[in-house]
Amino acid sequence: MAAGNNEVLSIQGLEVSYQTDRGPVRAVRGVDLSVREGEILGLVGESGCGKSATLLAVMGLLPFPGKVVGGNVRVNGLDVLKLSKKELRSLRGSTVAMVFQDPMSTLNPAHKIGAQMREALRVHGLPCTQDLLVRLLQEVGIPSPEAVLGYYPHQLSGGMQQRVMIAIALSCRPKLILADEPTTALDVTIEAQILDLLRQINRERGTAIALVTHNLAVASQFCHRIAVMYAGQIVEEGSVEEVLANPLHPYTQGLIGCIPRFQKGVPLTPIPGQVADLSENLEGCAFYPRCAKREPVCEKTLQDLLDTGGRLVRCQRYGYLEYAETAAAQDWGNE
Amino acid sequence: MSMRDNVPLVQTVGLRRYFFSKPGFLARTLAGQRERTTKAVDGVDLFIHEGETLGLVGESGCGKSTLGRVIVGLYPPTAGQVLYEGRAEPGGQMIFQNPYASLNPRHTVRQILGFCLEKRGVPLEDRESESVRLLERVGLTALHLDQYPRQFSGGQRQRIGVARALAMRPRFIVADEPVSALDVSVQAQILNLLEGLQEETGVSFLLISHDLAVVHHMSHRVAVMYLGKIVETGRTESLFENPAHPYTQALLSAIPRLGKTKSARIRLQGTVPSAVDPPPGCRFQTRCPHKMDVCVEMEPRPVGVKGDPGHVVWCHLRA
Repeated sequence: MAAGNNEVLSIQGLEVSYQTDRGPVRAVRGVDLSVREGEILGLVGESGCGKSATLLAVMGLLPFPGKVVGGNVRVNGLDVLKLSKKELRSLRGSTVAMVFQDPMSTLNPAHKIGAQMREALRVHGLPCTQDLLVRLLQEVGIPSPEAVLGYYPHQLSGGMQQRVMIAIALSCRPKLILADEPTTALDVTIEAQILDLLRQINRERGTAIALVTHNLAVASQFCHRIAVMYAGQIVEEGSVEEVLANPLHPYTQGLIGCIPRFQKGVPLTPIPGQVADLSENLEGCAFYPRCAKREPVCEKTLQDLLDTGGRLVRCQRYGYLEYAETAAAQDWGNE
Repeated sequence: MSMRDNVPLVQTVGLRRYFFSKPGFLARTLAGQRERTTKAVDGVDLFIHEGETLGLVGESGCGKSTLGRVIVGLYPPTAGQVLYEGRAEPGGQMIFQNPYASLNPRHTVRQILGFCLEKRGVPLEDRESESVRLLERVGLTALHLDQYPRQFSGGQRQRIGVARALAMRPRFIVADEPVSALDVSVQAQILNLLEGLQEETGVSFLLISHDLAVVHHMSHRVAVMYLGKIVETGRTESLFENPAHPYTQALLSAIPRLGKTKSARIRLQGTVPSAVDPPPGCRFQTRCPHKMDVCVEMEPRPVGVKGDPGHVVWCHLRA
């Protein structure tokens, strides 16, 4: 299903900070993001770039000492940050549901699958007949669902556990699914099965999906639009084809150069240095110390996200940079 | 890459490693559990030449890490042999997956490297200069010598892990998922480091990874493992371009590739069966889209792929 115009999720100027003994760590530093009906948005970046914190903030699930310190988040028109705990609880699961990375630690090991599925429905005041539970499990492709309802989580494989998590997430027909690295803990053949399932849900029901992943290849296969994050900010955003074929930001270009490409003899070009330390006060461009194309001006001044006709990029040097004919561009050209 | 002679540097012959678990008294009497044998590695023959990288791929639980550990001698084999440098004993060094768990948090870099150098018989007065040389080789400096592992980032820790392996001057290193705990940008740094080492010193690698892109990039030859057995092996290009085993075909078609639009994928049903009670005949028969009667009845024998020397597949379809 093509993306509609209704924004299911809209985030403006989101700021998340973790209060630590060594001072605040600004995990998310002003993120604007929207997901429309029927759309799959990918949020990509390396660990610590704030992609998970952004999703958790939407759900009101930031772990202590994390706090939203600025901006606003609207889910289906509702201002999430102003909701009471009770209202937030009824929003979670019904309008927006979340699928986490590790199904083994998100399912309760002491309760049977059936009981955990019933809980989700009961909390939202929905009927939870046996038939319905069986149908929900069938929809996510679990064989012999009647038996699985009586299983404990450890009796299922990782892929099956993740299917159960998706069944629970779907049980209240949410408009938006937030998926935080849903396939990272799984093997590649199982990963493909789970991504197929999510894609099918998106296509058949128009459920919007926001996918957080560190894996650019997964994002390129699965998403309509991607936003690349670095050090708590979006550095580039656009349709997945455009961003990967013609990355505008040096960080995106660097990331693509780091990935082995199934072509012999193409050397990897790593990004030097380490991911920026967010407990420090970053004045200019956070990528400055690692950037191959930096200029003195980048160190002290922070660029806003530039709109370049549907593509957003946060780089002072935009317009001066050329992205050479790379393996990435050639791959897209071949299709 | 140099393959000076035809005698491989490392070779395994009919290698098996079983794990036996004996349930406790209560589990036996009350729950009726019996002794279980996990056949983690169940008859593996492979070889690695000098200066060569063999990529070992397979899904979790297929026994690839156990195989690596048996080859370097961390586990004794249940049956079969490891031949290293022509002698019937395991050898080589190891780089581990998790750079957070594989370095002792109470030891400084000087102690970590010093211990290995002592084992190698480097005299005390030379150990510092040798340690510095090792650190510089992996992209660190003498300033890091008296720091503890917690003071390093993940990528730097993995560099220390590489330096520790190099301290023994091995001709062969098993790298067990050396980059899967690292961020993408740091992954590339470590992969380039390993490649550079091979060019300089001619060291051989057994690269164990679930990431097929990494394996394709690094390896001269690839072996695909499924439930304790090798199902296909061959030169990297021919195996990736012309996979002969249905499992390899499914595995390759499941890889998400950057930029490539979804090709017709072979979707495997179900998950890997348990190695405690592997299916009879071909191990892959429970998930194979081309299953025949013979696949249940007998184990497939190795068959060479026509016109492609060194490309061998264990599959009844090709027999």
